[in-house]
Amino acid sequence: MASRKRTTIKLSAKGAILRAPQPPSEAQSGDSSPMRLSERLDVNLTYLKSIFANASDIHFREFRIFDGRPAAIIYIQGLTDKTEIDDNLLRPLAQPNHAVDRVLELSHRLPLGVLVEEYVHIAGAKQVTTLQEAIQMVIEETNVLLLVEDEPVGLAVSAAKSPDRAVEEPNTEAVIRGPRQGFNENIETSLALLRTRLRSTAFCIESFDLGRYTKTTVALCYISDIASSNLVDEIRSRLKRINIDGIIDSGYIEELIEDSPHSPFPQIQNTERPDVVVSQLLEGKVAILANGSPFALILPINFWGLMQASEDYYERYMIANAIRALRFIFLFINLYLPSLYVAITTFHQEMLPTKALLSIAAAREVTPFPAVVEALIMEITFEALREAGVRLPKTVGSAISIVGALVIGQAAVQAGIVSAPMVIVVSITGIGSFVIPRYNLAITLRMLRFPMILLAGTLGLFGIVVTTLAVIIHLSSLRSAGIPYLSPVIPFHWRDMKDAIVRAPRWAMQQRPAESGKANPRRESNATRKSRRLPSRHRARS
Amino acid sequence: MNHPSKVKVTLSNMQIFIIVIASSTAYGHFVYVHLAILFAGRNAWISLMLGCLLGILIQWIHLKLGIGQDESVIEHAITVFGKWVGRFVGVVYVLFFITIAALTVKVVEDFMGVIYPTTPPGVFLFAEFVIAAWVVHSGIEVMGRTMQLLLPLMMLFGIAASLLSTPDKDFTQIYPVFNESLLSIGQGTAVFIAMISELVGFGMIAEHAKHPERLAKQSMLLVLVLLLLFISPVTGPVMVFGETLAKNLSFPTYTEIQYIRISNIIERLDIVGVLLWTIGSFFRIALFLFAAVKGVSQLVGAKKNTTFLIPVTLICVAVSMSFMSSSREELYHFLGTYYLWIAPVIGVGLPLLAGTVSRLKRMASGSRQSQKA
Amino acid sequence: MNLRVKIPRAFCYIAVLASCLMCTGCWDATEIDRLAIVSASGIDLMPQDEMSSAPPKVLETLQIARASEMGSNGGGAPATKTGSQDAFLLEQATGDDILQPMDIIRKRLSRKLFLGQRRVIVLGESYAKHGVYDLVDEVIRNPQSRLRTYVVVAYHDTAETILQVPYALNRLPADAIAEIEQQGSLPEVDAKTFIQRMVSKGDTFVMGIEKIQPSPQDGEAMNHSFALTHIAVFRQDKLVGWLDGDTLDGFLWIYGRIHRTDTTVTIPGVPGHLTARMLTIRTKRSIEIAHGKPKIAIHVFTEYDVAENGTPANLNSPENVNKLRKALIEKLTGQIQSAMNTLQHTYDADPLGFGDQIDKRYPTIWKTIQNDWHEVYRQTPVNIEVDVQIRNSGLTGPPIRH
Repeated sequence: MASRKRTTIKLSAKGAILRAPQPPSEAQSGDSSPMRLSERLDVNLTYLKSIFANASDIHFREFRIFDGRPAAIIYIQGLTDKTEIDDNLLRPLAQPNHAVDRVLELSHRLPLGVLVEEYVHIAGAKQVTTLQEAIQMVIEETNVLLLVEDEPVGLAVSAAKSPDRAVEEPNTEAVIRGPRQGFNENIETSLALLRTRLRSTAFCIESFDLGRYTKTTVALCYISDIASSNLVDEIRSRLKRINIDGIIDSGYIEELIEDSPHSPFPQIQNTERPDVVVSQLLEGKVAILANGSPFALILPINFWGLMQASEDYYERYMIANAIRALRFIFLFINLYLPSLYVAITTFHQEMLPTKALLSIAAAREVTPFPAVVEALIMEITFEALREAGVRLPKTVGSAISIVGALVIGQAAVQAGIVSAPMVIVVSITGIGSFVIPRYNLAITLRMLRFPMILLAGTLGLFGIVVTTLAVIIHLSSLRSAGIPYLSPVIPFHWRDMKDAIVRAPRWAMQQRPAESGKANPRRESNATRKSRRLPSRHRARS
Repeated sequence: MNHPSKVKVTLSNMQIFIIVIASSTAYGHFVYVHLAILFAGRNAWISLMLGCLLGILIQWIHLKLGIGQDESVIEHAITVFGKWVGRFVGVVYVLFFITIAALTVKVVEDFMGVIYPTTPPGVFLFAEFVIAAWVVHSGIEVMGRTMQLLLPLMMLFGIAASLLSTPDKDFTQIYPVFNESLLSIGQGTAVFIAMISELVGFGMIAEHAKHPERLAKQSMLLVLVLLLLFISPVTGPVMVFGETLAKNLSFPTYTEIQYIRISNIIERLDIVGVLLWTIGSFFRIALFLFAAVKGVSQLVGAKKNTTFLIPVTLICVAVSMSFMSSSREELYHFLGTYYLWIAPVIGVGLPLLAGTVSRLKRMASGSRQSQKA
Repeated sequence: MNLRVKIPRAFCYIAVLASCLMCTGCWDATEIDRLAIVSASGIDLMPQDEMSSAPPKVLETLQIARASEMGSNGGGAPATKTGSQDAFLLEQATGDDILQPMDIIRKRLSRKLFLGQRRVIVLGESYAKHGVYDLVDEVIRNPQSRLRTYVVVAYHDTAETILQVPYALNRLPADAIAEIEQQGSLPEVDAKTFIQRMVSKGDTFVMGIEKIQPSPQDGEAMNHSFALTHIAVFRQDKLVGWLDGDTLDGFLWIYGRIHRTDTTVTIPGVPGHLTARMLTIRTKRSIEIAHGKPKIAIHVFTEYDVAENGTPANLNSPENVNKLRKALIEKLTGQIQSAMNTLQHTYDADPLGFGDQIDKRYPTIWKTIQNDWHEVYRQTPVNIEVDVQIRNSGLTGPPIRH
């Protein structure tokens, strides 16, 4: 906790350096008294033009409304919906054919309020009275600002249309069975995807604008009936303490609010999948979405949760359990296989069956390097191939993988630089690391593999055991949003074992996880065994 | 968690027991089982039963007499014996804990020396102490969790090992029962009594339990669990190798694991031996280092439990290094003779004395009060 | 919390790094291609002239696998022909005990001698007669050597000759010996069992290995080979004799722990032979004390299938089956009788552990007789009871031939 405090202080110190002063100081905080909008349009426009002097994408359009008064709209080009402005704002205001009567019958000017009520055909409209507010509405909320001569108030009309991509299938978490919608960079779309799945007033979304310059909208989502208020308060206060120049991706937030920043293990889950977020919210967890990032953050999480894929819950539970078992096997293979190979072939050769020993010995007969070095070379090469695969343009990607596989796999063995068993070990390990559903956990484990190999090469099994001990001690001291990282296995909660390592059938999971679902432990469920049997009894009778 | 002195860390009773079991099982399997088989031969299991029967009593002494309400063994000694005598008793305890940790490291070194003959033993000493110091530094909570995760795995390995060696076991090797002299069985029992006496370190962590008042009763279960965990290692080597050979082996349980064969695929499961032994001794070093560190800070009156971590660890390292020159035979001789007296005197005698004195004091003050009334 | 976690971890990392730097590539690490993998070792006694009183010297032969020949070429086919002598290397040296010659060999090899995979120890007959305590001590003391190593004694031969013989079905002859031991029709005796019996109240035995010469007429047609055909009976640590033929079979019936064997019998009054295949065997051998005298009781129960019927007897009739049963019982009883006879009177050895049994069941009586146990053993009467059951007679009932 102290660490976070420290970061906060550092950041605010950085933020205190103000930009080059401009005559009408831009109100950054509430200490300078707000400047009210003037009644005179030209004064307001001059002021605003000076503020937006270097923002060429902000357009000023001056026109006259039907009663003859000059008016202006101010908007960000590209972020506003032009047709919307034309059809529902400019046209009714400029040519109110049907309104002529009223103009004649009343005094020749209509107050802004009436204009809004009768002529502006846009859902979101809000009156602003200060210049600061007006600027904020234009820049931060991407509204269209309407100013009219003789009115000391402006009108902020929402006609935002941000560049957006369609809702697509999440790339990083593909499933065979399950919803195919993924979040995208637009937080409104992302929140909409959540709201379509959670039609309840208990589903709360709290918004914050974070980042001094980016003013990124960050949404804190939870279900008020389920999530414990302590947790929500804690997360909210952590979010509020963030003071940073900008938030480009939700990863920024993750780094600023996690419990132990000096840990290789992820303490916050990120996901592109709205269904994952919803299911976690239903367990009493909290999700954070940031505008501009398709990744939602979920916390608190535990280690075992990182080994679960959303598909586990869509597939039949037996299949899900089999797949989970496979994942755990590959978790161990991923972490231990190269180091075990090194330890056994260089220290504990007597453990191998004679035939295996002899064939490994035969394969290693010509290789020049010790097994440790060989393992490190191969692992690093594999990591490089993987990294290159991510970075490379898709069109060259296949070329690289062919060259990589051929050069490293075939040629290196044939040239006698690397032994064939080592290639097998490294390939299995490489495949194994992609069996783990969470990319960030997989990468952590891959990272831990290197010290493990080194120690296995110097101390054999003892080295592996010592490294494992160190990792386990570290894992036991970790917490995610205050909840022990290894729970519910350590500390042990029998009730939660139904969804930690194995997945129990749904009717058996009647209770929410003990740690996160404390506030409302029982799931709403009549999916008991009995009710499941009812239909079949009916069928038998009919 | 930020203020260990103010907010007492509590662990579930289960975790406390896990720490205690973890700290004595693996080490016991490798050292005390060897000694017991050496003394009592095939009757070692009788010694184990007798030892555990007395062990229940010893546990009761540790938990009922040795410690007071929310007090560790050392604090209780200070309140009972007064400032100076109590401190002296506390120092004896701390030295005992340090000796146990140092001895454990020394035995680990010896064992590792069998597998890694040319690696300098200092490496093992260094690695074990660094890891143990780290876990002590992270606090009793982390220690409890680590052990809670690892102990079931180790028990699984242990049970698997004992099951896998069943095909090689000849149950008739246990006969004849009782033909040895009672003395040898008694010596074997003394080994297990010493083992349970060491659990006076329990008294240093008992106050962290969520329900300390239940510990004494539940400790009977603990002794039962220990009995179950030891019965297979005590009988296994005798059944697999016969009495004569089992007595001859330096690490009978290790050799038993080595002898396991799973249908020609895997032979020599040394890996399990190294695993059990390294992790088990780590548990033991961690518990007794924690007890020693906490004991020192209680003697001095420091606020934090871990203030003296580094000096105490260094002392441990030094003691362990001083053992380094002695051979394994000398060490086992020490463990099989003097230590069998030292451990019960400190581990049972002192808590018993403390308990008796405090009862007497209470009676005296009670009678004084009644006189006044 | 920050400080609590950060400092020790940094410390730990530094420690780990330091220890890595200190020791990369040294200490106990040995690359697998730097090992001379010993697959079998043989021990012989050097012939000694009558005059010298010095203890005899030991000749040690090591069979070392040549790893380069063990791999495969690209297609998965082995690099050398199975059964060739290229797959292994023999090294020899003499010395006073077991390890001294090994040290001499070690010094001449470019690779580190590795005993962890030694599968077989072959003892020359002369060495076995001389006594094997030295070897036993080496096997249990050396942490590298495995107790699963099989021990065999060369029948009327030296270990050296046995180890020179390549085996046609296995690349390493040592593997062949191990696999023959494991196939189940012979008792499997590894170093642990051997030593355990030796230090018990009884005596020990191992399998004997015999070199089979190719018959001179066939020349190239038949390979050199070896077979486990005898049982070497020890008295304490010294070889006293061999069991073969009927006595060997009888020994196996009493020993009991075998999985398959065939027995060929003739039924009296019927021409031709009948072979039955053993399916299960349960043996109970016990020694009772009656009226202060020990008495051995051996009860063997076996189940048989008829595997081959070379007689005209129709096995569909229970009568004939009964006759077969009787013949089997008779044969087994005779074999057991001769085995016990040989053990008790010819060799005076107790490899079946009757002494151990008395110790276990009647410890007090054992104490009184242990000093002259062999005297007692020689005179102990043996009661043999054999029970045979024929489960079925194969796929046909009556013989094809009429």
